[in-house]
Amino acid sequence: MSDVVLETKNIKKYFTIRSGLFSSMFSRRAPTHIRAVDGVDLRINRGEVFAIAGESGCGKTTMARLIVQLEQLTEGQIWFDGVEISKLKPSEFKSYRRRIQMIFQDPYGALSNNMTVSEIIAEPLKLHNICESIEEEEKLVIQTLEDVGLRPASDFVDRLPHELSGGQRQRVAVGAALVLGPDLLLADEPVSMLDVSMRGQILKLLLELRDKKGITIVIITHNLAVAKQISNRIAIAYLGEIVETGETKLIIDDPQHPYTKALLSVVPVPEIDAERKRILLTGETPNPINVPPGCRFHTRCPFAKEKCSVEEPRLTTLPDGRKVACHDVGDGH
Amino acid sequence: MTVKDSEIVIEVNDLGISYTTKQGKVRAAEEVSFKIRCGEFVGLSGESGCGKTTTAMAIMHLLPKEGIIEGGEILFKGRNILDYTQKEVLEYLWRDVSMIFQGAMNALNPVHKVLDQMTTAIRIHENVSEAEARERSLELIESVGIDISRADGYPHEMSGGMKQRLMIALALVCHPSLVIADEPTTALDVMVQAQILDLLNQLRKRTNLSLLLITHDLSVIAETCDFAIIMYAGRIAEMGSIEKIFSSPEHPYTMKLISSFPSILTEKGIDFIPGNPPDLINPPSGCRFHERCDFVIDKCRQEIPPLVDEDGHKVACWRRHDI
Repeated sequence: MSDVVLETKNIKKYFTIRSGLFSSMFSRRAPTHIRAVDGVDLRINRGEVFAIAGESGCGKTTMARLIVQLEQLTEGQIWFDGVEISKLKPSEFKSYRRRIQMIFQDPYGALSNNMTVSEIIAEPLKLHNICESIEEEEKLVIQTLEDVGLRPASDFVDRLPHELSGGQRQRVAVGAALVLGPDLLLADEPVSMLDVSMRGQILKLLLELRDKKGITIVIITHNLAVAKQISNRIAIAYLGEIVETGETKLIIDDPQHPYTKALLSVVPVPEIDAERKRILLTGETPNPINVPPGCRFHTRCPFAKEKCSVEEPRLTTLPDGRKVACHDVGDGH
Repeated sequence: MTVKDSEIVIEVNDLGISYTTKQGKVRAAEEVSFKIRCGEFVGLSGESGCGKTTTAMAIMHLLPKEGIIEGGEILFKGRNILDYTQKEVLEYLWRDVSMIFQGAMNALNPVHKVLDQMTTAIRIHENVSEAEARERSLELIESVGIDISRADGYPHEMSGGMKQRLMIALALVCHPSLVIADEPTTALDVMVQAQILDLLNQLRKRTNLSLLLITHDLSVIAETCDFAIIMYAGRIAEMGSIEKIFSSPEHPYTMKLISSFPSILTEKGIDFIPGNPPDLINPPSGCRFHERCDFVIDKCRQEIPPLVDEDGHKVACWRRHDI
């Protein structure tokens, strides 16, 4: 199984909501939980681009944060390169942390304003004690800047983030993640704050890194058109669970889960002559504090049957290889 | 097609706006001209910094104090709003033209109940009784698809989508002729976005509302508007019907913008426009897009191309017919 670089087994993250001091002293209510991620299995193959997509609150960012251990697992296991990293002590995890890097959504907030571009790129090297000399560090910084397309690198080393455009900032953020030579890059909405013309540049850069350096990329996005452009496989998340997963092209061209169908039917498209049947769901995603029983989607599902409100459907593999969690699709058990 | 002047809600003629900054004068909008007719939905798009919000703010009379109108006029039903007195501006805002701001859901006042905020807004502009204003607010809240029982609550009790619907309701409170919506759905999920866009379409059918929809999301314009304006670096690059802009764009910038735009329906490769938009303190000579254009010739570097109207499809490009 050497081609699986990352695997999560039934991972869960419940956030506890603390009520105020007063009510916790006088009432005996059980603490409430937000079930942000609720039993997710992912298998990411080496060298692929895997997209985790869904609306806000579906748990996609929390999944990424669990993988890089920015959040503690409530339950489940995370395996990286054959090692169960979720049971490592923080000191033991550090060497893996180097190999799993994350880039964040906001290219304006993610970079320290008072550090130059070269300081930002060099900081991870210092934290992990990578370089033995200043010269080596400088060389690596220059190389990284060139790799992320900031050429000539000498023009950028002394600049401050505010002197860069949004696209250039995002390149610096990618550079800071890349300088440690990771095997896996988790990109949380890497292009959602960028203009259309810049988006392509960053997506292309990510694909180049995959092709040239063999880095596996997990991209977290709410934008299904972006997911279609860049990913090989995709997982659609709803309320902390995966409802459909498989090859991106299969799922986007012919979704099977009612939620995926509805979601794709309302994604606006720039083709004006496209004839599409829209499935407009009413209301919004339920609050993850009160997750509906049975299938989580049944409260908004146009095809819900009685069974759906009672029994939770499991992810079932269809003949084309994708997995769907719906009583109406496959045999649903 | 000739249109009676009375059908034109807003007409922007040759508008120029600059901002004074420490580094120099930023020419945020130049020679901007367009019309919006009664019941028409017009989309205004372009990258950040192209002047789309500046243009909207000028129509709203809400430019910051650094913003200077360099020239031109903005006619609302034939009268130049730039000549309005302070009192006339106050009457014009919200009653004639209203605006839904970017991230507007955070613009609701958190310490007042939503219904009270709406009732107050009506009573500031119109001489009606408390009860009547309340009734009208409730009607509007219902028309944007929110249960009346929720209206008597505070903004924090509502989701982002509900707040955005309420902002739309607030914008409609005084029955304006034109609503300007600046990225009204950018912060929302696609399902909620679809609900909001649906709502705007229903309102159009019912009330003959005109809308200026400002967004960087071309697909939202393709799905909602009749007419599109594409701006680049403070100038209009191309404008025309949705069919013209999306099916046969003629400005290289529009072509690139559309080909860079991903779609779930097509197998598009990744495309982008190399380089960055220009600095508007020292804009490039000639066509502002020439540094990033694949079809550039010498003339483009020297002379600014005029916006030429052919059958209602206006394009500012020297090479319109060669490419």
